[in-house]
Amino acid sequence: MSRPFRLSRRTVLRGAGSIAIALPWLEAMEPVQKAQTANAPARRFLAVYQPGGTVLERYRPTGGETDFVLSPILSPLEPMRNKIVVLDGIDMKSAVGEQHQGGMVALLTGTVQNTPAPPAPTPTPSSAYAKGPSIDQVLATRLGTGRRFSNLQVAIRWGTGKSHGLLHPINCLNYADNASFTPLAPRLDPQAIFTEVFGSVGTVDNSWDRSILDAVDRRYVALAGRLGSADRMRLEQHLEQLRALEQRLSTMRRCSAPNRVDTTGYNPTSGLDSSDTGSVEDLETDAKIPTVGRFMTDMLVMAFACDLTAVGTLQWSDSEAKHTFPWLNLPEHHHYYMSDGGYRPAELEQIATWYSAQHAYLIQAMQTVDMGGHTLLDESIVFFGSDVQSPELHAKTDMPFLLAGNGGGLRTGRYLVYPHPSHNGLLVSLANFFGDPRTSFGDPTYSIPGLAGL
Amino acid sequence: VLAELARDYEELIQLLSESGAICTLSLSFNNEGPLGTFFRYIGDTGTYIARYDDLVNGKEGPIDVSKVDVSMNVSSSKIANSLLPFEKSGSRTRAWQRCFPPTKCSMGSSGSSGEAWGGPCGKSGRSHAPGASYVPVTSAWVSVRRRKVPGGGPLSPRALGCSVALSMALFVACGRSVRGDGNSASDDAGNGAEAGDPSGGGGKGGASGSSGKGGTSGLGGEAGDPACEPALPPEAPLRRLNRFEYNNTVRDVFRDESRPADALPPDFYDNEKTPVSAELVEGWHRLAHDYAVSVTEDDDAAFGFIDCNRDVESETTCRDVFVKSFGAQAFRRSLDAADIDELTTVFTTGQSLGGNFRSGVRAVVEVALQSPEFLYRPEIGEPAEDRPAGWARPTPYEMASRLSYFYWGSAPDADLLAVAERGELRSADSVSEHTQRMLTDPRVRDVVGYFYPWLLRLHGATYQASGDPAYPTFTPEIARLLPRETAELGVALTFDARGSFASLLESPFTFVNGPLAAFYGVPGVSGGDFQQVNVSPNERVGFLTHAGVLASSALGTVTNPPRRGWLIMNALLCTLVPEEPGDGPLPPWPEGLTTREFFEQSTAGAVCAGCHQMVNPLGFAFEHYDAAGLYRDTENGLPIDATGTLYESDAAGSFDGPRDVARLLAGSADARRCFVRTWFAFSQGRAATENDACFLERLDEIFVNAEMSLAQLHVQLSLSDAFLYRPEVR
Repeated sequence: MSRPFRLSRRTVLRGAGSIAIALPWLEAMEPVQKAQTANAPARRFLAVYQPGGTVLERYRPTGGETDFVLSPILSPLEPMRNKIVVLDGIDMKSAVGEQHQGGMVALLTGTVQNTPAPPAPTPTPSSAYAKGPSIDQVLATRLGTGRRFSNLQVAIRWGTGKSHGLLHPINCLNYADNASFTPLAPRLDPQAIFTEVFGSVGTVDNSWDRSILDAVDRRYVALAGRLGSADRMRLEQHLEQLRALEQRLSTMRRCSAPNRVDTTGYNPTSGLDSSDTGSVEDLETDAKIPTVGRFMTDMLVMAFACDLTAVGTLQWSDSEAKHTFPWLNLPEHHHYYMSDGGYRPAELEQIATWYSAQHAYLIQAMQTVDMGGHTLLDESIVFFGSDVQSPELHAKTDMPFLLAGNGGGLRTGRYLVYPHPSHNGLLVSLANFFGDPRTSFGDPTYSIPGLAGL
Repeated sequence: VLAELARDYEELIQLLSESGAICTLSLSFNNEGPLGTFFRYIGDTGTYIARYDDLVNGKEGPIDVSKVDVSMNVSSSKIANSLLPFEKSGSRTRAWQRCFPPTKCSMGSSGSSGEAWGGPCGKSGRSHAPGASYVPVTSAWVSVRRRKVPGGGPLSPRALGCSVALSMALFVACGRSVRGDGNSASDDAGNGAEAGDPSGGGGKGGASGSSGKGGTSGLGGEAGDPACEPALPPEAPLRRLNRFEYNNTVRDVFRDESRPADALPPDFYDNEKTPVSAELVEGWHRLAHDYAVSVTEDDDAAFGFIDCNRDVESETTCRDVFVKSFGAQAFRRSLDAADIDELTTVFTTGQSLGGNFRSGVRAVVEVALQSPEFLYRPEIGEPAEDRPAGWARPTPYEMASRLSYFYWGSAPDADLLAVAERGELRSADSVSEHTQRMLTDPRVRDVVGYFYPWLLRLHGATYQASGDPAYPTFTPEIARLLPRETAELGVALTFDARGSFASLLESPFTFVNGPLAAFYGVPGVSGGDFQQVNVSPNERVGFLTHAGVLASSALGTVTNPPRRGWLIMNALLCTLVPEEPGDGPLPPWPEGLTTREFFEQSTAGAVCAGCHQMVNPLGFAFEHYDAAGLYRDTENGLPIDATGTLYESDAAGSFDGPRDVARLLAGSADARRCFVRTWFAFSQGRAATENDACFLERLDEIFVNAEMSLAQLHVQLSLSDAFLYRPEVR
């Protein structure tokens, strides 16, 4: 009776000892994995690019932060409304350079386009590209170690128009986290990607990790038995975390390769044959865009789910977007509706709405992957953006930016209107969600601290 | 998680009623954010959930708390106290009492829901007359980890903590006698102590007993045995590697200089007491995995690890050589037969899973680097014949690690391991002899350079003003460099300049490199290397005026004097003042007020004044430094008033500006004692207890006699009982 007052775990559980215990609710009562996810930095980052911006008056939600009403263009996202943040009023101030190129370069880097512009189609690296690394590559440096792919960039129907299928500031979003900010080309061939990424998944199981963690587990058990009670308790705590980790890993390893989709007829390097004006058509490839898009999406999602990578970019075409939309009954190419054929908001709205539906599919797919007590979406952040707000004037104010996912504790189901901060602040915030405490990103001229209230 | 919570909740607030009944009180704090907004209380008879100011039972039925008239508006507090050297001493009690004077409380009478108070406490409570007086017996703060909102999101309207902080008290544990002070950091000693002897006496039990009897007096308890041979051995809780030590260890043992642990979650000030988190365990897992993969990319790499000629020797021989040598390096001791068996099994399993030799290597590396023998510093000890029963000493290998982590922040080198292998390091003399060699190694500077930023809470500090357009020169690079200045000064004063405690506070020079010199406006320094420069005597004095220290507390672009004062009270006077939730938005700031006037007005209320009258004046002394830590003559054109009075401790006195504060602290025995105990806590990874009192008093004396020499203090710490002994493991 007169032993020092001490509260063991058992006492807590039994409620004996008549002690008032204020347990921070989540830490104590939630399954470990969930608490872990909720408090942890975001784990996975996906950037999604769509060409041509949007039609702002048909895009902007109405209403307040939480009671907002989605616009016609965003209406396909209605089922995922509580998983997204619609960002409004953010200006891509660092998009200084050529009309589309400047936006492509700045979107993920927050830097101005380097000058002078090189002659297409063989720009030299670092001559007209970014002046800093892109956020995905910075995050890949942070998150990528130990996985098969430090990052995965894929693109659909890429290299149209002026870039003739080659890497060019007009189609390049990703810049290496090295001193020369090397522009990085996306992977294009869905079948090759499948083989490379998932070729071995069928045979890889989690026996390696399990065997390692089992052996580690045994060492904790053995040592704990030899220590004093307080020390033992600390090792047992460690053991609990270790077992939770084991569980997370084994749940995660229930991953499987996505179904291999037949993409016959789709020419991933169709861009090589393109003409500046888009006059060279490849309707067969164009018709396959929805199929390939889904397949690429599924592969990225499962690459995350299988922990083959933590960082990805999904690029729908490029800022030229000189391809057609046969399934929308739009016979001209996208750039025609943007500006080449005069600004055509009706068709552009149709296209943008279709992209919203693809985004919804992606978010939904991430939401359905169980990562061991939480979903893939819970631990991720997806950033959707474009190179311009609207193609009409190539405006880069009020960018149509969306976020999805709850990684790093991002609170979704919100419509946030900002007073025209530089989008570099958004890039800072993204880094912060991943536990990178930086307070600036990109070009110092345009860099601001993370966005308030995000 | 629960297990570690249990440790935290040993530290509850207990109240002594006039009748002698003890109520254990836990407080729920204003814990903002989507995740931590409520608390669950488990009592004998039910579970209660407190959400802000509401209390519901386990079935969400509301409970009327309007009749509870206790309302201690305690702001959210982190348990940053665990290493505070005065954990059980009078200073803390004083701080507590001044913050929260003994409060009248009653249990509410029949009006309150019987269910709410239905436990033993309910009975006990009802037996008291309303308004019975309670006194805090032990005081501590429940750990509430506030989640930082990434990107500096919308902040709590409650944030200044004073205005509307939640008040919620729930009494469920009342008994007739004191159950012990529950404040001990370790089981090991506590297990052996028969506590609760109300007549007092040495040891924890005694301390709590007398607390129970005499209200607060027992907390003065550095009641060491005057004969300097405490009956109980020094506590020696398990240590784990922090990021600094992990990086150093892999650098020294595996020649990996990539500082991989920088990717781990940041350490806490009281790291050893902070439960190991899921992120940390996963981070360690990942580092082990990455390293193992990187060193086994091909056979050449894998064999590069092994002192074995694969053209001549068999794979089995090479395997055995590898397991033994790598295991010994990772575990910092020679392996026993069981270890060898186990790691050999790991090897063969890996080899068969991967289908090649190098997969076996990889598996052993992965397992070893996640093993407790690598990530922690487990000690079993061996009998100490020269000491009473219950005492033990670390084995030679364990002592080698104690020495190397204390002096080098890293693993023992081959020489030290060889010394351990020979069975030395079993006496103070032997330890002292090897200390001499260790002190000649440049790594001693790294540890001291780690200590000073730690002391001032600079590891992982966030510099809110950095990157703000209002402070164009305060770039992230500068923010990264600032803690280095403090580290460099501490190192130089310890090893090069024969510095004393006072010189830390009053140093007329500091260390900057090119970028920092430009930031400070110091001419004539360029390049990345730090060099000594004299400070302008009117502008700077000692380490408290380092921009890194001053800017670490900014509230956005304005200074946060209470937090600056808080730091001095806690870090230099060991007076635990509850932590301010300093990340909130400010209440409306009327035109024309200086920061000082603003804080004077906004913290003047009765609820706030208790703590703020302690911390504010010390902070005001530093108002000549803006939120970036740069000197200013005026604030927005308004004159700066840096005068004030410190009432706490023997450093009490009036001051005008930091020079006076530095002088008061430099001459204060309390500050000096605090410094000694903080170093002790740093070296031991725990707060001092009664068992250490005798040594600490002697160390105080040595420190004074050595004219407060920082170098002397550093060396003396490895000669304590706490360093040389440990409790027997039973």
